[in-house]
Amino acid sequence: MIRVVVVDDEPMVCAHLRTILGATDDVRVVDEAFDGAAAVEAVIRHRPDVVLLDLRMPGVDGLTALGRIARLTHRPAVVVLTTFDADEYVLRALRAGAAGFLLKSTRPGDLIGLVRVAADGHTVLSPQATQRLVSAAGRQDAGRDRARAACSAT
Amino acid sequence: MPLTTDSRRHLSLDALLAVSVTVADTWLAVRHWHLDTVYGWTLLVVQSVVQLGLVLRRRAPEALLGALAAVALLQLVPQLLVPGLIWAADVDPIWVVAPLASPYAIYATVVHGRRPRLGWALIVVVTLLGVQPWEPHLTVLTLGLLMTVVPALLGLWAASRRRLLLALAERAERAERERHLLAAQARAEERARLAREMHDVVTHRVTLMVLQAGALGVTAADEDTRRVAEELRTAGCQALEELRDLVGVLRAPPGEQPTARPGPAPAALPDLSELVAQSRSVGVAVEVVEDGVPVAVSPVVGRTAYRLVQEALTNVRKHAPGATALVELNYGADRIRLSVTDSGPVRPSDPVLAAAGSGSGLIGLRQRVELVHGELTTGPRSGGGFRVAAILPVYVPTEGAL
Repeated sequence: MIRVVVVDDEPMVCAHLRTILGATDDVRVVDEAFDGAAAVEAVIRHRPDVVLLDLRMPGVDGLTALGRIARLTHRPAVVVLTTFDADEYVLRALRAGAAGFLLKSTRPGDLIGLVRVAADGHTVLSPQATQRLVSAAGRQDAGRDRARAACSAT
Repeated sequence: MPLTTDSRRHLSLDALLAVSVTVADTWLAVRHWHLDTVYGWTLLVVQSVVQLGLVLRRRAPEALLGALAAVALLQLVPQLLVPGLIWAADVDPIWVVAPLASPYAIYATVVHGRRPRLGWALIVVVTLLGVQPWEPHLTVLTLGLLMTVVPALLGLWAASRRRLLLALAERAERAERERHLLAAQARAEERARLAREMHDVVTHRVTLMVLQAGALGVTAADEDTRRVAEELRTAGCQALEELRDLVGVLRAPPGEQPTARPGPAPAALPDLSELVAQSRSVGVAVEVVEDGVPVAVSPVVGRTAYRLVQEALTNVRKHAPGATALVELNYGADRIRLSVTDSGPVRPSDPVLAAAGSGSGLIGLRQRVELVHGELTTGPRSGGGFRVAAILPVYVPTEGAL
């Protein structure tokens, strides 16, 4: 049984995710939290396998909560949920310890599958987020090459 | 060189000046020089002709001044060698100082001259000939300086003043332009900000709808509900894609192409035939002419093109009853040209119909077109009727940043 905590400042989002994930037998939403502080508490209390975490929340936001959860001894796989591929967050969230990045509009069937993958300790990324990551890596390589060229030129 | 109104006015003033100076100087010479040689009379005629050249003082001041200097030389040197050759030996020297055109020519050389070194050399020559230092004479000296050095100084002053005015005008113009740019930028930013806020709110709502449709899909007992829920979900996802596409355009600074990123796949222009059929069904005769090889365009561009045709045809129906409309579509390699023209109303428009609508259709259209970095032109045609035309880029990359 995969135990999941869903975190989103919009209760309806949490409710719908609970319904979608409840459609299968091996996944169960054990708690919902509506801000970052409550999310950390819920993780400590329930020790879930997977946390689905929205980044944009009032109060303690998702990135902060992500950092706190990553420092816990019991570390669930935290998958960041986003409205759409909020570009600038992908890398920051992965650096802060996120196990993946999923769009809220992911197909229900895929969503369940990806939660299982995350619970197994793998990274999950929506296709758009992957695209962004690849192009960012390309840019970093290009930057490194330029720096090297500059160093060897002097 | 075509004459502007200004230069035509200058030319007629200069002609007046040339004629008066020539007449006055020739009359003075005839009266006071007591001419009695052919050489003297010939040179007077030459001098008069040269002085008529004042009409060209703005165009060729150096040539005019050079000719005046030459005439003066041709008079003074022979007169010095053979006194009485040109004017009688007892003529009061104040009547032979310099041709009357000299001060005007000198002034023009300083102000309008294009070859300053030649100009100043000529001015020195004419000044020397005027003050006649080889026969010092207080009146001649004074008169000579008045006719040469004073106009040169006046010219210097006028020229520097002109430069200053030009610089000031230019600065004022630049300031005005900058102000315009700033205002335009502020407007664009405000518009983008509002659009972003609306975008965020709508995105949030549509995401909720997508999630709810998903939840409905997994819980529904019967197949039909599941199918409809999935259709709802798919439609919502498409709306989200388009919203994302739009916000990329909105976040790009005005006038700057957003950085490329793999945006939504380009697609063919939306089908216009339905719009055309709708217009025809309400009595507007519409012709469609397509030109070039149809290319795939960004979805946001396709929608903009569709909206343009829709808006323009609606306007034809409202404001030009009985007119025929022509939709022209021209595909280029990287842009499409789109225009809707009508032949003008054949009967007065229905006031109720014409008053319907917010009147912001074309303004909204312009904003849409500018958002995708296109250009919109609208206005009445010379032969009657109205034209709405746009040039749209084929591809508008949405913004990407990490």
